[in-house]
Amino acid sequence: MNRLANLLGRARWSLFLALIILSACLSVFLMRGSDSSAVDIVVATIVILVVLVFIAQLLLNLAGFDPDVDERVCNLTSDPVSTALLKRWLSRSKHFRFVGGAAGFVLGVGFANGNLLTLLLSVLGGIAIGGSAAEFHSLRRSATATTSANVITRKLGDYVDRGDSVAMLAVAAIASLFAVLSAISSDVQSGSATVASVGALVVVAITFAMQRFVIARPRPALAADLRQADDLMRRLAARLGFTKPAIALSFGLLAKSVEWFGSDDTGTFVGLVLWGAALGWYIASRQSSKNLLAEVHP
Amino acid sequence: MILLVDATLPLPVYEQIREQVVRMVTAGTLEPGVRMPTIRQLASDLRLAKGTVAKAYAVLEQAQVLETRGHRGSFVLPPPKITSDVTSTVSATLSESADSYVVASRQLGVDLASAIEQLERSWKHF
Amino acid sequence: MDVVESEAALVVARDETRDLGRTLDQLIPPPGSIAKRLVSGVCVVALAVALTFVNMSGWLYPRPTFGGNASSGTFLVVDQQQQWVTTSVVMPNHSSRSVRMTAIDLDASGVALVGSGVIVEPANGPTMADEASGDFAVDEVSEAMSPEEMFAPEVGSLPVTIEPGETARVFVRFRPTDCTNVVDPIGTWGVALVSLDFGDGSFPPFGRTVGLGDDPIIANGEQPQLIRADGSIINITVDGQPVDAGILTATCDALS
Repeated sequence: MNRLANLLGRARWSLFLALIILSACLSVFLMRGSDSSAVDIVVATIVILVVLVFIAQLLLNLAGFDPDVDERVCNLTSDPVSTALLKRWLSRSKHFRFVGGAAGFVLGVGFANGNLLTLLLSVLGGIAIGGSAAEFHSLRRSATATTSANVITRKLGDYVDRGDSVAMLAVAAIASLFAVLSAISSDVQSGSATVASVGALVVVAITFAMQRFVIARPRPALAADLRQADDLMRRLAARLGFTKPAIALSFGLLAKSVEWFGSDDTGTFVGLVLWGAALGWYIASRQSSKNLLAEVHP
Repeated sequence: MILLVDATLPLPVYEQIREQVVRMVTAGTLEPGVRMPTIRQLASDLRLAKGTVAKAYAVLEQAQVLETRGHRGSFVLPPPKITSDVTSTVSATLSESADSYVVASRQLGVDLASAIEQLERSWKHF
Repeated sequence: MDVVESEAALVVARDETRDLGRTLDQLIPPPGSIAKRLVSGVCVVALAVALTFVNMSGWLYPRPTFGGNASSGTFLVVDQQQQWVTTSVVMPNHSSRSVRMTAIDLDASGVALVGSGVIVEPANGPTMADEASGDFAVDEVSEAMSPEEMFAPEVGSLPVTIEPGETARVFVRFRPTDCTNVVDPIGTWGVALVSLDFGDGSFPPFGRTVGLGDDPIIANGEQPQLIRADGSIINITVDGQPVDAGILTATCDALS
C-alpha cells in the first residue's frame, strides 16, 4: 500500500498526462468516420477523461487504497503498538464499508424503482453491512496448546457511546409504535409502513447483537499498552464501524414509514426530523480525522 | 491478572482455572469486590466451552472464593484467612514454576543468558 | 564488538517486531495485498450488479411492469341500443416473462360491470394504442374494431397469455346503475382490476389496478371521449349548448 501511495504521489502528473492522452486517443477512435469538429473531440476527450478518473478512483477505493491512513492514525496516538493496530483496523473497516456502500448503491438502482430516498437507504444499509462484515474475521491462533486471558471484565457501556444507545432505544420505541399503528390501519399502503418499521427494529436488534459480538471477541492476555490499543480498536469498531451507520439507516427506515402514514403537516414534520437524524448520524459515522479524534479524545 | 490454561495437561482445565484464581485471590492480586469476566467472555478469550468455565465458577462459588449476584455477575469474595501464608504460597509457587522452566531450558540446551532474555520477553508480552 | 552488538540489536528488534505482528494477528488479521482486496471488492460489486440485472430484467423473479394508468383521451364507446358503455386500458408487458391474465374486474362508483375482454397485440407491431394516440383518429379506431368485435368469444377470452413485449388492451363494459341522482366522482372515477399469474402457478398470483382516468368529458370536439359505435362523437349539451360533464352525467345523458 505504501509503495502504491508513493508511486501515485510521485508520478501523479505523469499519470494524469497519460490519462489525458488515452482519453484523446479514445475519443478520436470512437468519433472516427463521423463529421465531428475539433470542439466535439475536445468535449468527448473531457468526458472520457472524467469517466476514466472516476473509474480509477472507484477501483482504488474498491482495493481499499487509503493513502491518508498513516496521517489519520498518527493524529490519534503516538504509541507505536496502538498505531499499528489502528492502522490495520481503519484500513480494513474503510475498505469493507466502501465495498458495502458501492454494492448498496448498485442494488438500490435496481430495486428502488427510481426513488432517491430508497436509494439512499440502500447505500446506508450497504455501509452498515460492510462495517459489520469487517468485524467478522478468522484470527490466527497461537501455535501452542496454551491459551491465556486477562481477568478483566469488558462491559458494553465501556465501548458503546451513550448517545448511540439512547438513539437505538428511541428508534426501537418509535418503530414498535409505528409497526403497531400501521398493522391495525386499514389503509392499503400501511403494509409498506409496517415493513419499514419492522425493518428498523431488526436493524437495531442486529446492531445490538453485533456490539456484543465485537466486545466479546476473543482476546488473549495482553500487556497493558496492547490491551488499551485493543480496547480502543473495539470502541472505534463498535461506534464508527457499524453502529452509527446502522442508526442512520434505522432513522431513514422510520422516515420512510412515516411517509406512508400520510403527507399532512405533522407527518411531514416528523419525516423531516427523522431524515435529519439519519443525515446527522451518517455524518458522524464517517471515518474522518475529526470524527476519529472525537472518539479517541472525547 | 492473567489466566493461562493448557488443555494438554492431565489436570482438568476447570481445575487449572480454579487453582489460578485461588492463587491470585490468596496473594491479593485479585482484590475482594472485583467483578470477574462473564462466563461467555472468559470462555471466548480462553477458547473453551462455556460449560467448562461455568464449572470453574461453580466450584469457586462453592469454595466461597466467588459470589454470583444474578445478572450483575460474579464478584471476588474476601479470602477467609489473611495470610501469613501468602508469602510462603507465593515463594512455593514461584519456585515450582521456575524449576519447570529451568528444566525445560536445560533440556533444550539453552544457556542462562538466553533463558533470561526469553523470560524478559515473555514478561513484556503480558 | 560494535558491529556484533548492533547486529544483535537488529535481530532483537526484528524478533520484537515479529512478536508484535504475531500478537496483532491474534486481534485483527493482517491486511491483504492490494490485488486481493481489489478482486474481492470487484467481486462483491459484480454480484450486486448481477442481482440488479436479474431483478430489473425480471429473469429470476418475474416482476412484470404494466402501464399504470389509462391515458387521458381514452375513448368511451356508447351503445345506446344495448345501454352499455365500453372503455379500454392498455397494459404493455415490460418484463422478460410471459404473464397470464386470469380475471378482469371493475371498481368504479355508480356503474356496474357488464362484461370484459382482452386483446393481445404483438410486440413491435402497430397497436391500437399507436393508432389512437396523437391526433384523435376516431375513424381508424372504429374501422379497426367495433365494441361487439372486441367481445367476440374467440378474441381474448380469459385466461390469456401476454408474452414479453406484447401489449394487452383490456376492455370493460359497464352500465350506470342510477341515472336519477347522478353524482360525478371527483378525481379518478374507477380502476380496472386485473388478476395475473405466471410461471404456471409456481409464483403467487398478483394483481394490477389501472386507473380509468379522471378527465371530465369535454364537449365541442376537444379531446372527444364519448363516441358511438359508428365513431360519431357524442356531445353533452344543455339547452343546446355544449357543456363539460363528469363521467356519470355524460354516460347517463348519452344512454338516455
